[in-house]
Amino acid sequence: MSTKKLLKALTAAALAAATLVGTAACGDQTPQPQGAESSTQTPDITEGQEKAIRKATLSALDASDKAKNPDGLSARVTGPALQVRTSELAIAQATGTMDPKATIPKDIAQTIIPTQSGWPRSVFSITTTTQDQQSKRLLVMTQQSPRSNYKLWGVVRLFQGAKLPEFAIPSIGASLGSPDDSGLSMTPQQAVDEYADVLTHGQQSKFASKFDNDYFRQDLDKLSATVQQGMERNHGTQTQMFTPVKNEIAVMRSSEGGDLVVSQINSEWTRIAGEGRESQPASDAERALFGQGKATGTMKVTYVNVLAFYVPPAKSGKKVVAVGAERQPIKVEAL
Amino acid sequence: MTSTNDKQHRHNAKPTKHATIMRGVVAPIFGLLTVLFIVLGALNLTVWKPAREINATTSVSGTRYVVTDAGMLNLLGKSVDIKVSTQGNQPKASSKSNNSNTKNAKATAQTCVALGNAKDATGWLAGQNYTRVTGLDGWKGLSTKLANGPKLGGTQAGDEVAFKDSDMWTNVKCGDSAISMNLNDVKNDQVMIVDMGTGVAKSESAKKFEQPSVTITMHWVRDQVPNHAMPFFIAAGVCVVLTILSASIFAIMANESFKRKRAKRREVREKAKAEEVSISEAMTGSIAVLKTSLTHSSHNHRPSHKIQPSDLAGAGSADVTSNEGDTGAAPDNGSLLPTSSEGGLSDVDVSTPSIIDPTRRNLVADMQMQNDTDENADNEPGVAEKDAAQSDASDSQTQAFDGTSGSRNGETTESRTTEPQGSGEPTAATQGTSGQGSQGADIVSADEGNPDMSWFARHRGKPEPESESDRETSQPVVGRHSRHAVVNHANDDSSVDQGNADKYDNRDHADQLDNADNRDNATNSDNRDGGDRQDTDFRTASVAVSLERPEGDVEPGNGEHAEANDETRTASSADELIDEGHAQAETTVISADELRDYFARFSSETSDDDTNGEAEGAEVTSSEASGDTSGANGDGENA
Repeated sequence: MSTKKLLKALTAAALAAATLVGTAACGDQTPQPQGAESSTQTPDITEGQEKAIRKATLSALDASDKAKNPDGLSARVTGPALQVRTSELAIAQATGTMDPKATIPKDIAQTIIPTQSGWPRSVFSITTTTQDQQSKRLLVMTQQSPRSNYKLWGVVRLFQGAKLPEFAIPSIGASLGSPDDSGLSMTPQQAVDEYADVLTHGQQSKFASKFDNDYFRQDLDKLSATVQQGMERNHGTQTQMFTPVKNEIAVMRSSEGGDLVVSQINSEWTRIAGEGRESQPASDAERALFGQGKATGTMKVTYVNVLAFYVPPAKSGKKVVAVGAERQPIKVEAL
Repeated sequence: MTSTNDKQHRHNAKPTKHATIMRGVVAPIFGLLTVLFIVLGALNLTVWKPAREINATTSVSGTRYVVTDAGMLNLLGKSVDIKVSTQGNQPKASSKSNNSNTKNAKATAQTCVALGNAKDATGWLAGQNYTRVTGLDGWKGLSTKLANGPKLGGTQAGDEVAFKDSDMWTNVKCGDSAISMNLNDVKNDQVMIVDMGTGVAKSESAKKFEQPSVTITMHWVRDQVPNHAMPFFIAAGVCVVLTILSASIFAIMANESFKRKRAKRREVREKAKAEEVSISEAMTGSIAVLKTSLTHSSHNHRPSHKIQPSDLAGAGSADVTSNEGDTGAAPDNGSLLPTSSEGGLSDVDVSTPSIIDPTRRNLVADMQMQNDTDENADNEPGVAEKDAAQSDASDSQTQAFDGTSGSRNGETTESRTTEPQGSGEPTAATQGTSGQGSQGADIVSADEGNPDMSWFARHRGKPEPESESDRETSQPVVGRHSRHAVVNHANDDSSVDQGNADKYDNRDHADQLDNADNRDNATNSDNRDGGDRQDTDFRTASVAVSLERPEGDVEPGNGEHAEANDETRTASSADELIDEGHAQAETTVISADELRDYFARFSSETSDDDTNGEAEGAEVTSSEASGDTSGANGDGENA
């Protein structure tokens, strides 16, 4: 019956019209804020913020350089960087000039910002080469808690020709790692410990095969050899003990799967002069630190070493390799 | 007629109850709804238009920190202006507060507003009570909520920095009383944190712990204001459509006469389908007709074509319209449908369909007829019947044509038809050609009785136009050619016009055949398998004529010329054409091979190969082969 059909059609049309009108009413409700999606990780700071932080840090360093006084450093420098810097300033006080290797360029070539939600957080920044063509510096700035600020924790001079892995760009944000990251050829903490062993024992270390040769070890070996020659002439001995420092480690995951690890390894160099001779400081730095102290037959020098490694992924077949280092005597003792 | 009946019936019918309801009740309802929706839409556009600027204010007290929820700052726009004004930062409780206290209170009571990450804010507020601004409360207020910050590891005392010194905020502003902040392009995860300071709470002299309170105002300017009027206008549009429909179609749909008319229309459609003739049928029909007409002896007094049963059976198409009166009907479109006028022909002869189009003249046919008349005057008696049969098509063609040209054509055609007859070629591809002779006789008699055959009566005794030429000209395949040929003849175009220029073609071909003489006959006889050969001969004949014309005349436009000129080719021009064709035909002597080649070029409708005389027979029907540029003539015609 067409009438029925018509009635149906009319009813449908009326309902449709009513619905249309009804939707109009929806628009009048006040919108509610939609929370940021927690799944998407955002970088902890912007590049502008990183620049501001770095600027503040460097200006603090500059100020203390000028004053040759580490007093104002603690607001912006912490950890091994603070120790190194304090030592350098002390040496500068004695010698009158800052060690050139303490220079930190103002500009950066790259910054790696994590998307960490919690604390502590670290930001890695790689500077340009210095004006006198020294190698780039890797700066590690850490915020320990929300209520504290970012502070320069570690400065590492990258080796010439050292290859760093790739990281996500700052607008996306990288991933902060942890000392026991898995999926690598060894955990970051392991890498640090075993490297310390290799430094201590050289080729006799059972971990020696796990590490590629690097400039730091070469340099150290040369120095040791030189000192050894001198020592042997006098029938003295020398030992170096490398000890990783607990909890002084920063790990950043690269986009290639490996980790960039920066950690502090302290070392003690004990030189015992033979035949009743005095053991003297072995370098200008040591001498400056030793100052007016009285030399004895034994000299123990404490070094702060900051090492940066690249720990490759497990199946890559590559070895752990050190990509940068910093070595600074902080204490010279005549025992 | 049926339509008029329906109309009358409808007028007489009373409107049904259904229609009355639809028109009288439903349509007005929808009309009212339309008006209502339009009014509401207009109101939403003006009075009820959503505000473009939103100012939302709230007052917060009881906590030191106030934080907006994520997504709050860019709730109504990418930019937001925040105004934070503080009240009661100064301790009021005791009048005994000394200056130092007041100073301290002032210094630490500074209110700061910062913009930062949601997670950073959460970190900063770890372990703290704070107030959340959760959303809009109506359009003028902000809703708030108390919250507790998560517990985080403690910070070393020395490391804590002041709120405004924190590295985490991208924007920090501090002030004593009122702080404004303009934020552009706020991201979803950015929040605003207000720190009202701790000084007041620590005020020693305050007996009552006076919590500071702030008034937070957020001001947005919306880029896009929601359009509430559109749904109303859409609904109004729907109602308008429904109003119209219910007043017209819905009311009608149940109407009796509508149903009846619908049924009637269906009937008519079905009838028409039964009567329709497909193109293939039409073509084969005409070919058959041509064949039969060629085999028949041509009679000049051939009256209107009579559709013979065999033709109808074989070709499935009837077609004759040889009458002068009828010529206008069918031949104009070359269709072979019986027209109403044919209904008047009681004895339409199917075997000899012919298309007569007075407007389509073929000078070749003209000349041919002329020659036939001259040469075969003595053939008439014996040939008359046969010719009549053969030249049914030609007759019709010539008739129409002859209406203008006169006896000459009849003669030529007659003579023309006799020749092929002599060779025994079938005139047309129609089946049952054997009966053509008798058919011719029938036709003759029929002609006499047919008023349309007056022409034949007039021209009785004159040689019929060569049936084969007629047939060929009337072939649809060549028909197009013939049409052009007509023009061409006039314009000196070669073209193998057939069909349209039937009459002309007949004459021309008749002439040509005469001219070509035995050669043509020989070729004709060779080719006389079916209409193809006929066509070939015909074509060659026409080609012969057209060869005389400069080929440049052959252009697609010629077809149009032909059509345009066809109408103008009245009796007055016909004579001229005949004269021209005649004269030219006389002056041309071309070998049969040449003719064939030439003709083939024009006759082929689709291919562009150069003609080869041998293929003529096939060419006619298949329209393959040769077409060169002047074959473009044919092509143009075909197009």
